Amino acid sequence: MKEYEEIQKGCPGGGIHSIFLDEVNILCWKILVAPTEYPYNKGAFRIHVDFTAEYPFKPPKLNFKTAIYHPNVDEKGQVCLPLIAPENWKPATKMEQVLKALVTLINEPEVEHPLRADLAEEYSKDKSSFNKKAEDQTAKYAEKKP
Amino acid sequence: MDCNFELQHSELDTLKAIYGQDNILKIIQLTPTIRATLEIPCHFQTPQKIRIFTKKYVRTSLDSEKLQLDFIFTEFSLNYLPPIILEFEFPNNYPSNYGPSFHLTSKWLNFSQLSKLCRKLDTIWYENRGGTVLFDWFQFLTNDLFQFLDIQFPYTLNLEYPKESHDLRAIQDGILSSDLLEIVEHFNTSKLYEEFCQQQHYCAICMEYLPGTKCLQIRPCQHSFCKICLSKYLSTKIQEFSISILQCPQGNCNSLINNQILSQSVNKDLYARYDEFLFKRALEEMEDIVYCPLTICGSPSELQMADKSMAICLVCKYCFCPKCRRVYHGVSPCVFSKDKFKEIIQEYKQGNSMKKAFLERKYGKSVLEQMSSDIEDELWLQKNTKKCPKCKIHIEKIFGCSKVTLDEAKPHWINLYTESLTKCKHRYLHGQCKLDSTNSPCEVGLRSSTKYVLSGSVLGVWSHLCKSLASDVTGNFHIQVVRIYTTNLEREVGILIPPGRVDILRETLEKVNLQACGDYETITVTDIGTNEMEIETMDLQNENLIDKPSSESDY
Repeated sequence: MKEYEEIQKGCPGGGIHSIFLDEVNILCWKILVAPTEYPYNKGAFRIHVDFTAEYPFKPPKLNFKTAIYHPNVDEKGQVCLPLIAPENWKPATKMEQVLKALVTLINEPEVEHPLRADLAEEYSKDKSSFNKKAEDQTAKYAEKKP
Repeated sequence: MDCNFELQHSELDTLKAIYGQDNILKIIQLTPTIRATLEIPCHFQTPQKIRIFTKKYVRTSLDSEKLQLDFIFTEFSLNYLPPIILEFEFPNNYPSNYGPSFHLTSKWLNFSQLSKLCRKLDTIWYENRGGTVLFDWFQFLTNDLFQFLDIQFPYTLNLEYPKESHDLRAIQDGILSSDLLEIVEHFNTSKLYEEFCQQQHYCAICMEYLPGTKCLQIRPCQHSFCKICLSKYLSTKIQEFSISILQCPQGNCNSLINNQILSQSVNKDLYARYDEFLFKRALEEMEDIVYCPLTICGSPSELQMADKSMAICLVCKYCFCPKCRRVYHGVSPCVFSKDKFKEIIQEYKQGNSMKKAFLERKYGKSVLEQMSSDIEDELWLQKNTKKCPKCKIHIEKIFGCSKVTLDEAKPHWINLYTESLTKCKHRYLHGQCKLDSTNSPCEVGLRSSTKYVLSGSVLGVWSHLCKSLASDVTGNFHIQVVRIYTTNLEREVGILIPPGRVDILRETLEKVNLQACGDYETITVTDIGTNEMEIETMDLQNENLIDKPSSESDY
């Protein structure tokens, strides 16, 4: 896929660490994201990007393989990212933009549209407790930073 | 002569070499004299504003034959204007003695401007006399035209005939065409498209560079995509379950896909589907639309009348009340109760956008708004007003305390006291009573009343009494035995006679009196003041004093 080459060339940086491409199934990218902001900066998160056959006319699906304590990511690893919602998706949107938006979302949780309402409440009311739990979870589940 | 001929041909060859490819030079004939045209392009690097006045004859009114001149003013930005055409012919002794003869044709320059250009071309020829001149002419016309004619933008096209005579070599061929605007605009767009086709464009979807012929440009954002990607994108979007407005595929770009691009990109079925969707959307935005309640129809219906109390289906012409969704019931009250209204309005106000949209679709937005304001009005009235005891209209207390002083109350009490002697409560309060026209006057609230009592030894005339009392049309009567005290405190016991029966009874008794020459007597008692009268009643029916049991007694 042409976009893969481009994104490798363009050296994404900004927290996105590495992108692995499955030779057999190019419709699944495995990405390692290492957020820069506290409380997630202690580790790296593995994310799978699944492309549908209709891509780029239908949005790709993002899935967290590493558990993360975050209001916008649910227990199954599904992410609520407005940019890749079916009604907002534009075919000209590039994966680079999507990943950048994802990293921004991880660093700054959006409490207005949470997937886990309990975490959102904790985040907005008792930030220190939230940060501590998130840090613990990151240390427990996340991979080591490469 | 030969020299001239050679110079002419070499000039033509040069022109051909420079301009032959872009269709600028067109040779009409080579013998006996050389004739050709040069099209001078008018191209602006940045779009310039052009204004056009179009004249239109409009009828002053529907019936009259009179026509009125109307000016329409249009302004638009152009990158291209139609070319100026220089048609030239070399005379035999060009360039040694004469300059080329020529005509200058333009659609958008007026006669005086063209004449000025013609004179300038002559001057250029005089300055270069003896040499070839066409290249200089062409250079002048392409580069210095706007400066020379002092045209500044925004420029208003003015094609009026000049007052003085103009140069005969100047030809204005735009003045006769009524659709100059269209010509100019069409020329611009076709030229722009040509330009677009010649360039390479990057399609952000498939990430390829493609020639313009394989691409489509979306206006007004001017993003371009390859035809295949755009077609796939639009088709997927329309086929999706939740269809939405089609926008430019570029991220963060909100420009809409116009019909032209859509019809080029998707097949007829999808186009129709999107069209239908747009139509529905437009209807939903209109406030005066509800949907037909008939299950077989369900088409959009238009609200009618000023108070929106009626809706007519646009398809089946079913005429219904938008509130209760039954057949239109005119001024008669809606079966829809107020409590139900309140429920709906509450639901509408508290509901989420989905619920709101559903209710708006069902009842119509304007009806709902009217209903909610009606309910608010009513609540306000209940809270802040009381009904006038006389006319029942809502009144609002605006000043004063709630107590009534003795002096204020006195005249009202006196009035009530005097009036209650003659007028029943209804006549006192409303000026009329529904019993006024009947022969038994109303006695509600009356301070004095007249009762007729038959006393004495009644049993002797009992049968006559029964007859005359029972001759009522309805046959409905009951007998009351009463005890009364007259004003001079005499006690009487007798049968209460309804006022309407008195005359009949009196006649009957007089007849009986004459026949039997007995000493019966009728006593009519007028009593004043209901308080003084003590009425003791007995149901005679129970004591079997009447042969024929009367119809149901009231107590």
